[in-house]
Amino acid sequence: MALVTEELAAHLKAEFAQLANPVRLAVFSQALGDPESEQGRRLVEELAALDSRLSVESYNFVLDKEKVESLRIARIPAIAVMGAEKDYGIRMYGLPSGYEFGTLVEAILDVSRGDSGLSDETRAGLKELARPVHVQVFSTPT
Amino acid sequence: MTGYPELAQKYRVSSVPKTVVGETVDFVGAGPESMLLKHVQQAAAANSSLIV
Repeated sequence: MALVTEELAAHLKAEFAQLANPVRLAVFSQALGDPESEQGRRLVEELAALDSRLSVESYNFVLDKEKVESLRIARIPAIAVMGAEKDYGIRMYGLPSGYEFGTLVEAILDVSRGDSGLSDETRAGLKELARPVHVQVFSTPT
Repeated sequence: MTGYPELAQKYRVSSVPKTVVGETVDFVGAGPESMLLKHVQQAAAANSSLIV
């Protein structure tokens, strides 16, 4: 059974109509160690099938060690949301259910635009940073 | 927080949304963009002193 209902698919297709550039989704799961993570993989695969500008690569967290390392995946289920040329470092961990599903869609649209929407002041401040900074946002799926 | 209990414990996440910047700087709830920038700058400065 599809995780994305027909009604949701229609809504998402309308949202994805505004995609400016292709977006690559890499999803990491592992059926043996974490059966629930397979739901994340199926959801992302169904999502990517809705628009030709979305592509998906599915990886096994245990077997595909090289990808886990190169994309710096820390745990599963994981989704990396990347531009065709550029990886902005956006990673979502956990199942994107409820409100967090909207967060995933927003991340896809942001990456497609290639624009964070941040103010000029913030951009100027970030350019001055001496080193990369890891920002983690904790939320609760609703 | 039920998804990643070890992370919730490590970063003392008791209410959400909680934003952890670097390993030592954090705040709860939403705030203006300028506040996020300030925390990111703090975290970058904290890291540099550790490495030196």
